[in-house]
Amino acid sequence: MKEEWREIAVNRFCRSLPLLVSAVLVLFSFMPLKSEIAGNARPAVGLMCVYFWLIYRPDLFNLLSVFLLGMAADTVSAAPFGSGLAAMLVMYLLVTNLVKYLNGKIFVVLWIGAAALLPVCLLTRWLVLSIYYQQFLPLSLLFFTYLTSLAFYPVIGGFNALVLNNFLQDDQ
Amino acid sequence: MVKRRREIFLQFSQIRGTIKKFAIVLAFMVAFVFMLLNKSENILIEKTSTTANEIVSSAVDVLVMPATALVKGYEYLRSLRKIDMENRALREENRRLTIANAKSRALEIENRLLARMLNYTVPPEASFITAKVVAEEGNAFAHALTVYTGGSPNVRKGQVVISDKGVIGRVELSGRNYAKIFLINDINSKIPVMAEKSRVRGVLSGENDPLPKMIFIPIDAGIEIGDRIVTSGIGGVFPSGLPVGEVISIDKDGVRVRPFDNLNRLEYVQIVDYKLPDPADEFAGGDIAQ
Repeated sequence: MKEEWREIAVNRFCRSLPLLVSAVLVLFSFMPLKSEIAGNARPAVGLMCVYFWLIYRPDLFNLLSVFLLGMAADTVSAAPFGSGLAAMLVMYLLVTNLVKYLNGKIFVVLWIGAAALLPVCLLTRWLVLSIYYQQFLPLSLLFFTYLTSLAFYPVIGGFNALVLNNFLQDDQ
Repeated sequence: MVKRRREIFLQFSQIRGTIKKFAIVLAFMVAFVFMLLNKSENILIEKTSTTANEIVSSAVDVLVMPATALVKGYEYLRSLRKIDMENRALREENRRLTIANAKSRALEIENRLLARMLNYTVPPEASFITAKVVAEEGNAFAHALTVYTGGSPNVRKGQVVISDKGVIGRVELSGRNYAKIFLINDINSKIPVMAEKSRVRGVLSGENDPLPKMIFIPIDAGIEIGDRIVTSGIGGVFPSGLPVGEVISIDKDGVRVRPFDNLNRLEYVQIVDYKLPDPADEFAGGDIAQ
């Protein structure tokens, strides 16, 4: 009986790993790094996690997970609450509609996929916040955020892949 | 009984199906409602936001601790090479500061005497707390810091945040242990400033760009590149004369100001309580008196 409970608990924990790992990575992305790049163009870690997990494990990373992750990210962020969540929901919409073209593809294809989808989400957030502040936000920093996000995608994707291969491959 | 249960179950499944279908629309709507509530600056929303920030910030603080230690270790090793040079520079600075200290003491006594002669009311002395930066955000959407205030009860919304070189921002949210600070280049930051030399007043406005802009200044203001920008004290939130930055470019859109301190390399900041009277209270008091 005890063994059974333990098995259930481990199973539950493993199934919540995509959200947990994404939340940890998102919180980690706010770490003070004392660099010009980190101070002006931090990569959009949350969006990359949403992209990754919705392609590989949409059964474990659903709309509720996206919603919770967006809320967590917005709580730490100084940007208006809900704006990061809206960008993640756009990513959810895009990936769930395009998953058939991305699923099972090699890493480079997924990287190109991220390169194509990230600007849509970032621009949506930019537009929403520009309306919110009634003033256009700087596009140059948005572009740099996009570039750093692309550059960091292999790191974020690699870490998520590590979790996927080590903890979530058996129950697929 | 069984039939009734089955009906309820079917109805429940139908509702669940419909909700699932419209869940994404609902989620978008919730996100926008959050943003609208955020704009309304409701006290309840602010309190909820402070509590949530407190919980998440403590998680960030714990998470980044090992990484911060690693970064610090690396920086320490790098700084070992510079220690000798720094030591010499510090000795020189110490000699200079000793002379400046003597001069400033003489000036302070003179100032006190003159103030007594003019019947000048001395403003309350400022108090401050030093806070450690635990999280930072810098992108096109926000420029902010989260700092650990160690449960200080004196941290309040609107207080000035300075580094050892000048003003860097103001407190936006203050919880029990953590506070969120808007940096001066954040879009929400608007500080009344003036050029130290020409005394021309304006507003230093953050635009989420690395450099804030001085706006609302006359065309023939006579501001030059290299001029020091200090707080003007207008509005009663910031005291006058605090160093902010220097002018690095002037064009028709405004005057770009580079903050004295590098906003991307802050480790510790000081939250200062100048005990200035709240302008809103002052007005309210005036109305009552009338």
